[in-house]
Amino acid sequence: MEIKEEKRGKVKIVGLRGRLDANSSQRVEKQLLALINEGEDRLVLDFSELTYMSSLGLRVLMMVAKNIKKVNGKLALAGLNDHIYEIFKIAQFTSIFSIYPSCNEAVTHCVD
Amino acid sequence: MGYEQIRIVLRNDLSEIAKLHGELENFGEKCSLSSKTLFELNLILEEVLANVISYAYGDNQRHEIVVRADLTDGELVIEVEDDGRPFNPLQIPPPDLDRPLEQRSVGGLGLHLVRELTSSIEYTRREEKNHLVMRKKTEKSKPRQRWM
Repeated sequence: MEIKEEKRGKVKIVGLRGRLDANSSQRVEKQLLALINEGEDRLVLDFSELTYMSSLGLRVLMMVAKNIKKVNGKLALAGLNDHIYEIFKIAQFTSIFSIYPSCNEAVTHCVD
Repeated sequence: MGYEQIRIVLRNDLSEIAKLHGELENFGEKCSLSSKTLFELNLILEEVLANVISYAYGDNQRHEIVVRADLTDGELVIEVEDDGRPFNPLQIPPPDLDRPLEQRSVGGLGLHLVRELTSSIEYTRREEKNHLVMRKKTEKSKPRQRWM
């Protein structure tokens, strides 16, 4: 799992590359929650290079969403592949997350 | 119709999940599974195994978990056998997914995904072991279009 960070204006973009699973979820959770603690409250998670996600990945996203909500921040997801989107539908994550095809659209959501 | 089988023995350590994914990758290639079916097979087994590895043992000892997958006539039969404490996943109630974000639990989704991605799940406890057998239809390759 590779984690890339980029700042665009007030928005922090975190790109995840590889598999968000039992092996990587703890590290990703720690890094994302640390960003929120440091004051990053507009977060875009770019999944365009993410190939796989299990329920441990969904758990990380739920933690991040709850923590962003606590600080009245904004969170958007971008670039989910079809298989991951299918898992989102089964978990009914599509109704609680803002999901965009591209990173640019997700950034716009967080700026507004 | 073809028949393919795989047997994987894993230790009760979460790092073994990477080994599982590697073996399934080879199996998927041999059986020409669609990327969707292979993704879902990986997910089903990771969910079941992560549960077993995290919760089935309280003794800090090394244990072996045996995974089998057979593909016969387009149906996958997936078996997991462990010598952990008795655990029947069919007795776990489904999570409440209709709640707003603040009230939703962060966990509990793994078994829900397994239920949704399989056509049947059977649990038996015999000889001090948990046996879980899951069935899943694989995607057929699409028939070729013909010009009428």
